[in-house]
Amino acid sequence: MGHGGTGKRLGDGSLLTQDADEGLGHILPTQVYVKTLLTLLVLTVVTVAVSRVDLGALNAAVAIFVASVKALLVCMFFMHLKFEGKLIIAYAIYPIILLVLLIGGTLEDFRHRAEPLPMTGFQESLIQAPMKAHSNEAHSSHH
Amino acid sequence: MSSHDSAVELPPGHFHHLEPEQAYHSAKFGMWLFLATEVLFFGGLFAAYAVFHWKYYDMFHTGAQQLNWKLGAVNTVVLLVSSFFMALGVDGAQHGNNKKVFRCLSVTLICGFLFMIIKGFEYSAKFSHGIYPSTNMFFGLYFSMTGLHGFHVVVGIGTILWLMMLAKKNRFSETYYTPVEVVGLYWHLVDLVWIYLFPLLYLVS
Repeated sequence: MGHGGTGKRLGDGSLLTQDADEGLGHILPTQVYVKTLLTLLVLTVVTVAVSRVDLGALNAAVAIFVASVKALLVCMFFMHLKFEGKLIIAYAIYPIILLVLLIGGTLEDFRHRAEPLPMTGFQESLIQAPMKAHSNEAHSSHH
Repeated sequence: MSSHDSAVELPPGHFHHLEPEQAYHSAKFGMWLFLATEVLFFGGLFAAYAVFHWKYYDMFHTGAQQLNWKLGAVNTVVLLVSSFFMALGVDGAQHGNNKKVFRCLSVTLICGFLFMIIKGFEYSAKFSHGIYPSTNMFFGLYFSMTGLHGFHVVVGIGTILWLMMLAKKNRFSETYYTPVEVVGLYWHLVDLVWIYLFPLLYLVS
């Protein structure tokens, strides 16, 4: 594990980024950032333009798709994710998997509910619930 | 490299804790870990948004029409430009150019303030029309999500000011610019959240 100690680039890479380049972060030509910004601005115009066209349910899907392309560009180039090691890439992806599970699971559960969620009148819905013994107990304790 | 020669007594095998490179990679990894928790922090609100958009489709439709999408679009551009200058600021730090760090972060800072000012105008316009978080589920989510996001912008403004102070003192060099890097990652995440908030809140009509 010999570190030169004098050069600009330090060492031979650490355990955390064994797949990445050696040394500190990744220096990109300014042109890359300019192109990323211009693409992001064009995609913002696309986002607004698409929302003006009535595509029905597709509108939301297209909006999320374009937003995700923009997010990917920000991650790849502004955040240098394209040049990171496997560990950081894994930790960038895992919350997205959890997010898909969270939103997908919640929506799937909600879509198949026979009754709407009790938004108000929680007490009433509790009393009407099949657990009669419990509701009677709750009811009597209020009086 | 003075830390290597110092008289600090460490057990064998712990010298890498003093390595600047190890510190840099650990800090960066720590920030990515924090960003993962941030994604899930906002994720709860996005899940609520998905459920209630599905349930109260018409309310979200009319609610979005009451928002000023032009101001939302301007704020999107403001944040994208701020992220661009943050990336240039990190580039300046990577080259040990403290002046460039200061200049680029000044633009990011101005963009951050501009974003909050525009957001303030939007909020006060809503309040003057009698629209509050309690108005309905759409505006409840609108104020929660943009409020939590705005709080992140304010925290970002604070940390950017701190970086500018350090840059003024010429603290950054080619071998040490960790604070610029990790604050940059945080600021880009704030931008990422807004990239989703803008179409979901302003353009669903």
